[in-house]
Amino acid sequence: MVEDFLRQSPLSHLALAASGRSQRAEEDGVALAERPYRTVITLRGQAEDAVFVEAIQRALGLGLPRKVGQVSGDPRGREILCLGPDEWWVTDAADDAEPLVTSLTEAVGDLFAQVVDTSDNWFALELSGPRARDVLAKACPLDLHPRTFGPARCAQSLLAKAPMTLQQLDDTPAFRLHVRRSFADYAWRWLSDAGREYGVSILQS
Amino acid sequence: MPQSFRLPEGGLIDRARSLRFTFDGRSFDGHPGDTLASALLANGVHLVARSFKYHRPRGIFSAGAEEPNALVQLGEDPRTDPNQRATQVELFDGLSAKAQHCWPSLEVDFNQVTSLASRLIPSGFYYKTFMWPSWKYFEGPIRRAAGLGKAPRLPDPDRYDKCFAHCDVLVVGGGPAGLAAALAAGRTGARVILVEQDNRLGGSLLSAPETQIEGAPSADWVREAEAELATLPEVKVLKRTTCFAYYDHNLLGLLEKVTDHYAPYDRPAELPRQRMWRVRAGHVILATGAIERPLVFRDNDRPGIMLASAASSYLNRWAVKPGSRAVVFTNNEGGYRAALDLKSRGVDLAAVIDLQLAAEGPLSRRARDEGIPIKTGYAVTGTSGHLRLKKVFVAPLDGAGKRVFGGGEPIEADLLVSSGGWNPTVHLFCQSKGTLEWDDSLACFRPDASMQRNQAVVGAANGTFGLSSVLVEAHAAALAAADAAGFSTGGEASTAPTSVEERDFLPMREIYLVPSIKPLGQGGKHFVDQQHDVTAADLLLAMREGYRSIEHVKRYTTTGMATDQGKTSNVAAIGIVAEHLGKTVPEVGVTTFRPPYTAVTFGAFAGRDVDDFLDPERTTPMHAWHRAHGAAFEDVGQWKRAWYYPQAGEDMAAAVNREVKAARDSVGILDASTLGKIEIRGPDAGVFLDRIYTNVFSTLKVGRARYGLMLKEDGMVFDDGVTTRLAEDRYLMTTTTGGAANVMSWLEEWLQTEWPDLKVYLTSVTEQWATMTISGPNARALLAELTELDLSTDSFPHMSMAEGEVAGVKARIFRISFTGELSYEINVPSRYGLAVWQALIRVGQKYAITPYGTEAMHVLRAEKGFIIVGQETDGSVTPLDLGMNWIVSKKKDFLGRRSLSRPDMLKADRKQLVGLLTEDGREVLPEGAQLVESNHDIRPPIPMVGHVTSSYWSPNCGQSIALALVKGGRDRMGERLYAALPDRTISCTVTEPLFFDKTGERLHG
Repeated sequence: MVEDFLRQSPLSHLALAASGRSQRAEEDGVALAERPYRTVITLRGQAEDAVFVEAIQRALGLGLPRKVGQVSGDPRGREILCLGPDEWWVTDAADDAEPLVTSLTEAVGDLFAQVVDTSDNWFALELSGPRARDVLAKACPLDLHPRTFGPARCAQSLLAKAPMTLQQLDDTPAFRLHVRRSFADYAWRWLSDAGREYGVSILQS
Repeated sequence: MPQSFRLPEGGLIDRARSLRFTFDGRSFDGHPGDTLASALLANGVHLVARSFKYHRPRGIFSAGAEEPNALVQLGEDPRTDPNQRATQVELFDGLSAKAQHCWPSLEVDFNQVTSLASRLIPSGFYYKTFMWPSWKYFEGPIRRAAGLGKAPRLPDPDRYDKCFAHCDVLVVGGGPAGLAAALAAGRTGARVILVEQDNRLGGSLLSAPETQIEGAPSADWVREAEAELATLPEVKVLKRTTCFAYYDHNLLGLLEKVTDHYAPYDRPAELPRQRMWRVRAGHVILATGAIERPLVFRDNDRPGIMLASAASSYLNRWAVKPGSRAVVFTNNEGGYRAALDLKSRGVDLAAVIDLQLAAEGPLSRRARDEGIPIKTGYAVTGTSGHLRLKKVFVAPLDGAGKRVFGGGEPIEADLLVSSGGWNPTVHLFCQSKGTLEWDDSLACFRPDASMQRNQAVVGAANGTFGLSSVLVEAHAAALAAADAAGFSTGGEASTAPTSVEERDFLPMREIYLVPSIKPLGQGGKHFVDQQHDVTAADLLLAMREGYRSIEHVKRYTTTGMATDQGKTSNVAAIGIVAEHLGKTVPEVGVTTFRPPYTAVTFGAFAGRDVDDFLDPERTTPMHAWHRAHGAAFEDVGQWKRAWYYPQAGEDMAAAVNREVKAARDSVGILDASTLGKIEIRGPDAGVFLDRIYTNVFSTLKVGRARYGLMLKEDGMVFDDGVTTRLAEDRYLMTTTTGGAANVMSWLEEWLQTEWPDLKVYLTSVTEQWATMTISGPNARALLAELTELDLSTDSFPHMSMAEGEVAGVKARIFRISFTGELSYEINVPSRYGLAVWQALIRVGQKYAITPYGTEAMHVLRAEKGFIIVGQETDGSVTPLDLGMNWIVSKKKDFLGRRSLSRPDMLKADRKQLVGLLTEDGREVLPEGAQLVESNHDIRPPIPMVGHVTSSYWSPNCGQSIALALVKGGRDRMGERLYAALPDRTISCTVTEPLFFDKTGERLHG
């Protein structure tokens, strides 16, 4: 395990200071938080291979979602996002992906599958609050109305001009938005600007 | 200044507050609720503009989006908007507007001389007159003389917003039809968006206070409807929002004016000025109403002449008398409503001039009962008054409506309102490719076949003019839409609001061109399109010149092509053409409606994607360090890469020379994080790579790396990079920075569409890894201080990979080289990139470690003759052209292989990669320079034998070096060529494309 002080968020240059959730954010605004070190493991494999599905479930203690856009597990802990017919993300609150990568790699063994640590390939930020959908509607063409989207759902789309994978965490509503690490600065500043009319507070990461 | 034309009571204005505004430098007062037009009229101001071509004085013609004349320049640079319709500009305190297109003033405009010369400048005059010697000599002055407002010169300081929206039912128009539809659909629980361009809901009801709905004044119904809509959680009401475009599959564009109506000192800083909505609607209900058609008579454009319905609006909605003494000119029963309104609000009504032979409707009967003088079978034959209407001339009309009798009897009047029937507002319906049919009984075009699924047009927009029928139709359409969207209806909520008042304008007498006492075009003008100054005479001229199609007549005369897109003129133009050709109106047909319905600010289209949001700037984990150390950056795709690091007093050349020397003399360090990286796993990974690359990867040993070239099917080089075998079934591919995404798509495409039998998975890991390359004779010594790994060539040879810790961080280290020096490419998880980079810099101090940028990297690789895809290649270069036959396998098949054996690919005179050394070694060839074989008489045409692809000063060679693609280049070694520059030629010699360390021994340190 490497010392924590050696690591850096792609937003460290912004020197973000948590403002705490303001009264306004609570009632009518949005809050932003960065989640730079969560584990994100890309898993490729054959959903129709029962051995593979079984192996993953045993390793993670979670059912493998089979429908694209479905999420299983605990959004604040360990979860699996189904991104494609043969592609998943295993994400976890752990800062260090290695133990999970190792156990997944062992679980799939010689099966036709792939386990890759992509925790640093992606950068997650969380957008929450009563106007979170309105802010997202400025950046993302998907319909995120509760009738068509909700917790335990994910989708791949755009955050303005940056490719994004988004998932809804709860009914606040809170969303976790994943962009490639190099887009972190763009995504954060874009959302801060887009949320300005509702009031944006910054939460502790 | 008193608002002397403001009525003492009534109107939807807040009399308790006054708003001060200026027009053309003069100060006036108005009230909240006013538009700029209503406030000007309240102050007795009619003259607001000069016309486009003839600079004729023009007034306020309408009360809405259809306004052709009252276009003003709003605000001051940079917050200025040209061509704003005064009829739609909401008044705010401090508003400042100017008349456009007049000099020195609105009252005295010197360019009005064009009016005197109007006989010389008919439609299309510039096609005929200004052809010699060239149109370009005339264009400037003509554009200055014609035209409208001025675009701002300074950058727009305002912020704009854009957003997406989705709904089950989108209702466009907040009049009675739209309100009824939104209520009916909203009550079912469907997601509804109601769009209204005005700042108030109610539409035509706002100007007709006597109307009753549900047994009460319609204003009460509107208020209650708005209140109820506000309680429905899935209903969104957007006021001050114009639906300006309707695209396929129910995608609609809306422009919301968020803060334009605030006084500048009151504008909330956190709000955008305007917001563009892109709405994807399940169902669309168009309730866009109708626009009144003016009558086309001689000199119908003077200030004081307006639409009859506009006069009613000013009286009823804004409590403004648009004149003191009025004449109403109508061809239909609806005109009498204006007459009654005018009389009841205290305007002296001189006469109603009715083209109909008899007026027998309920309104005309009421007018007669109230003692209003009515002349049926009469026409307005002309008007007088320079800056304001003074007299109206009337005369009896013959039975056919083709001519008038007598000289024209004058009537004193300062207001003339005209009504020629109504046109359903079908613009959006037509934009969505719906077709129109001509309704003979209504004498208007109305929607026929829809081209969009889930679309309905209701109310006046559909040619349904009676208020009861409007409400019933809108209600039913909304319930059907909601039902189709899966929202059941029933019970109380499903009855339509009732109204007893029928608002109908029939019957009418269709006469599109009102005759005068003189032949058309003599002694006055019949304006059809007031904004573009197109007259009836112009239309007839176009037909005399042979134009028949209405689309041709439109383009020749420019009728309907102004910013108002002919909202008040198109049908009249079609009618006049039809009358002239002896055809019916539907036989002539309609012109095309295009977005936008009304003009949209460019800023709204851009939204927040301006300045540094114009395009994302992608940065590496070490970006902050590069910035702190003064790096200049180069754009590579969306990436910002450190280009060079100038020290105090250094220019680019000095910095690059220093960096290039350092990497050869001691050690340099490069941020290579942007290189594309793809993890490949599966039992068929080796086979897959063999098919993708020109060379073999299936035989690569685990832990070893190999350089590969990828071709497209045409045999042309597409990408290159080093691929390493991580395990029996795992590889890591690297790609060029710019090609990463394309390569990933290319590989996935082959796997998914052509080779689904191959068991291979790909995952992009470009940004998982921060990559730093240390290069130079001291690279090994430096790395040894930060890792326990055995770096000896025996255990860690060139073109191999090792895993171990560097500066305490788990790393993958590749011993590969793009400089020709001993090089290590150190990859660590991105979160540790900056820490490891800093550790290398810190420890590297004793070796005078030098960070180098992409420019030094280019020089270093050029010294070794290494290509850069996209610089030495341009999509037309094969591996053979590059002299890289050694990398093209003869034993296996791969993408592009068959193309390489096409005869054309084997021709001896293909452009081949060579080196160039200038005769004078201090001279650096410009990249892109064309090469010729002779240095005298090089005037074109002359055979070009090649071009320079890369060229640098090489401090390590002590002279300039260049790479070039030259026809049959490999057979020209030692030959003299000349770079042909605009002012001189540079002489150079063809060499091998390798300039430094030709034996390659430095690779081993």
